[in-house]
Amino acid sequence: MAAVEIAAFGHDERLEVALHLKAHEGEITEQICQRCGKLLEFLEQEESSRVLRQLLSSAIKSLGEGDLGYFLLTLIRLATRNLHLQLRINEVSLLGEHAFITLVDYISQNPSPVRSRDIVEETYLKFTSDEVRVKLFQDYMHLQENVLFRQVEELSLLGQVSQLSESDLVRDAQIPEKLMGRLMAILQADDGVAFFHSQFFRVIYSKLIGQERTRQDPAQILEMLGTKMLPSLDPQVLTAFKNVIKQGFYWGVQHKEREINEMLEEYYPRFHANPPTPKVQRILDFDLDNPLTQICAAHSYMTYDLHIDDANYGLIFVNRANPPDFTEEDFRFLTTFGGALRQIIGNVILTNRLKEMATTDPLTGVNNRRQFETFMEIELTRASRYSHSVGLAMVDIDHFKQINDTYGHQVGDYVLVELCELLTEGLRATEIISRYGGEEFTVIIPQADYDVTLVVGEKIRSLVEEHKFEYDGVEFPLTVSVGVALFPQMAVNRNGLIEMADKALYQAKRNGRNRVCMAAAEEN
Amino acid sequence: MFEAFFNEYYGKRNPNARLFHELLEATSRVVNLVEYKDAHHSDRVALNCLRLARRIGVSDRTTLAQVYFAGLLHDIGEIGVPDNLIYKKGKLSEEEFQVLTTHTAIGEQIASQVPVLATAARLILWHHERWDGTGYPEGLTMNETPMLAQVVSLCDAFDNIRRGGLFSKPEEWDKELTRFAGIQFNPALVHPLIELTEEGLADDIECSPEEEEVLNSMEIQDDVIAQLREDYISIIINFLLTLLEAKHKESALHSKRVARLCRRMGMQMKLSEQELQTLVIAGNLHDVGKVGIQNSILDKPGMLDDMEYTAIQRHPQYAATILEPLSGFGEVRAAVLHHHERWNGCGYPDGVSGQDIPLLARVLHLCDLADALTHIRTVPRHFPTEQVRYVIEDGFGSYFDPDLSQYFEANDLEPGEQEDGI
Repeated sequence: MAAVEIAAFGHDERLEVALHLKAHEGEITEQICQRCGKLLEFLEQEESSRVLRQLLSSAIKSLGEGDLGYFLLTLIRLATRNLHLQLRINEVSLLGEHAFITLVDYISQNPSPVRSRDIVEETYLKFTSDEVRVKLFQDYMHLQENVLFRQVEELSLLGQVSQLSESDLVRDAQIPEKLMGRLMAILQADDGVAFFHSQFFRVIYSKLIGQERTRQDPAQILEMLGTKMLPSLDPQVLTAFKNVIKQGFYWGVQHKEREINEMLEEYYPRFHANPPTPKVQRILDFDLDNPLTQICAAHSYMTYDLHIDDANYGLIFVNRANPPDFTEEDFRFLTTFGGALRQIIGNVILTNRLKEMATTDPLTGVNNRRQFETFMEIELTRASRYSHSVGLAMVDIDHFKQINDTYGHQVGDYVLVELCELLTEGLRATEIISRYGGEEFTVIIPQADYDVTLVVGEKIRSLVEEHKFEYDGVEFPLTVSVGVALFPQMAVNRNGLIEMADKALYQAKRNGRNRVCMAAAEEN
Repeated sequence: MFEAFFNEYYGKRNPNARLFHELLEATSRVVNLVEYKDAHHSDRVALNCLRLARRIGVSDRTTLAQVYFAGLLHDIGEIGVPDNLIYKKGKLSEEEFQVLTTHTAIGEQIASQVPVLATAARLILWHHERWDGTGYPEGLTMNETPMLAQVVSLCDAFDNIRRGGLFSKPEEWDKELTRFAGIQFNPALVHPLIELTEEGLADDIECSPEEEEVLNSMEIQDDVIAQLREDYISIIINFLLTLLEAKHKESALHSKRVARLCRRMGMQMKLSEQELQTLVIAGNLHDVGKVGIQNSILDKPGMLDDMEYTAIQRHPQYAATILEPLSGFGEVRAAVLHHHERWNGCGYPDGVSGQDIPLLARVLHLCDLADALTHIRTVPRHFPTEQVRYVIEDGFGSYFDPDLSQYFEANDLEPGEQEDGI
């Protein structure tokens, strides 16, 4: 319907109107700026008036041609490109309506060619008709799809990062795969490497494609160079080359995962000390020793430094092996992603460190007394539930005061640390070592019986007796006395068990030190 | 990077080198080497852009120089488009057209390797936008396209019309321009261009002294020179290697590997830091002459015929031609030019032997060879070895150059390795 009515006007008539309006474009632009300023208020003043000027001029051109296609195209383009989709479809269409209403207003207020008002109104009616709306909507959706798809992906990835918990990072081996895989999909990267090193967990991820095609090992070509091609080579240069090959130098791209890890670990301090300029790096990094350009065919790459402190650090590296290069937008996203990840990891590390501070003994690194009591409670409850026995060994260093007095407190501290290391290494992982106080240690032996408890006690004693304690070249003998007790045979609760073990330890001391004593059963 | 090299060759020996001018000269040679349409198309477009821009009232010299560069490099991106599309007669299919449209983006990428040409790079990206918004890559309309990009676009189309290329007969060029005004071109620009032509300026491909002066004025801009001085060598290498990468990716990867190997070899041979850097630069640039050779030859599976072999043998000279205007690159140029000379004198281009070959060229030759032997550079050749040997032995004297046979005997090369000397 609308199309037919528009066609009712002659080409010349329409052109006349368009030219007339074009001549007064400045005034009309001012009017539309007043009208639509609010719709575009998220833009700079200058930018928004530029947008509106474009809108008007395309509306006028559409008027002249009697076809709305051009106007719709401009609207869509404004919405997608200039405004980065901050306008919704109804706002876009409102903008379009405003453009025509401004034109109608202008014509009615100023002297204009005959029938110009009719022409503008007809075009306006056509614009508001359903079929045009549908077309506008379809185009909008189509153009929006790509942009939106990426935005949604980006947001969902950031959401996933923000929901990472400690257990995810420490236990879920799939986490790097999940995060980096999605990051690389969004950035359309070919190669990706990430590693994170911390005292609590280590994460390594590498996905490399676009490998260089090699046909033989460097060592193999030596023979060929030395015989067939000998006449064409300078002997002196050839000798140098042979030496280079003998040193195991390889100049191509390497992909072996283990080597990549080692290389990155080695490279990281240098990387952190001289971070690359924060931008997309182009194919050529003239730092020829840069391992990042040696592990894949680097074309355009970006890095993010996940440095938290000197003990906790990491690095994200993504590369595109082929044009087009990464854009500034890609880099911005990587920075956002890396920043979010870094914050989460930082929090996890902080939590872990606080927890560690609360539960370990600062000097020796084994559990402190509070943690020991917690463990005791847990183990005793478990033992009662499953009808197991739990052994407890109380260890005391013989003549510790004498060591302190003779050699000084530093040596005393050294002895404590050394002893704890010795026990941690020598005993099984299930046996829980804690510092009970001073020079007294405890070892919880879960799922033990009478014999096992005695064996463990004996092992502790012999470990210490056979170890050489040496400080500043001075060697001194050291022994321990051990008292062991068994739950539930000898005690009914935690305090009782500790008391029994303590008594046994006292017994061992009295019997001449450097020995293991089992506590007597309760009824005795 | 490359401070030792820069300080020696540009700081000490040649402190008054005109860095920007050298860059312009080298660029111009590259453009002439890779020119697809006809000789001097880019030169004419560049000069016309400069003149038209001045005519419409642009007086800022930096801007004028950018327009000139944009005109000179506007089609450089075609280096990344397969030859058969560029030479194709008749209408392109939709897919082929899509491939062809990438040349603006590739051109932008190449030009943006030189930071002082950032503006020119943007102009190159938009030089196929049309007034009515049906151009590519972004479909900008009217004055959404920067005025200077419109200038480049108009001059490019105008040169095509003048040599009877795309639209019509050469005699009807003014009619053609007027017809497309308001459709393809900005109507406001068409008239000044017609004026220029009527004054006979548009045909002249010699710079007038005044225009020379405009171009050289970049030389006295402190910020431009400071930017160039800071990173001159890297800029040059980046520019040329990006070009090679767009042309033939494998060659660019090969060059990077060779540079890495060269450095290690140099360290092993205890060269001085300055020699080491020269060697690395030469390693990076040694194959840059390949931008002047068709991909169909570079990628040809199977043996090369003698014409192709002659063509490919020109690449050291091409590279030397490109490097010639760069006053500090003398040693690099010598190494690159002679990197296919052999110790026994069987190499090319000059056939010198022994100690007459520069040391760096000898090292480069070995590194080139070693990398070619360990990495597959071209499509694997499908001939079984024995068969090719038979073909070669049988064909010497009639089909192949007899000298080539000597080369084979001397080196007893496997046929698969023949390309390694290339």
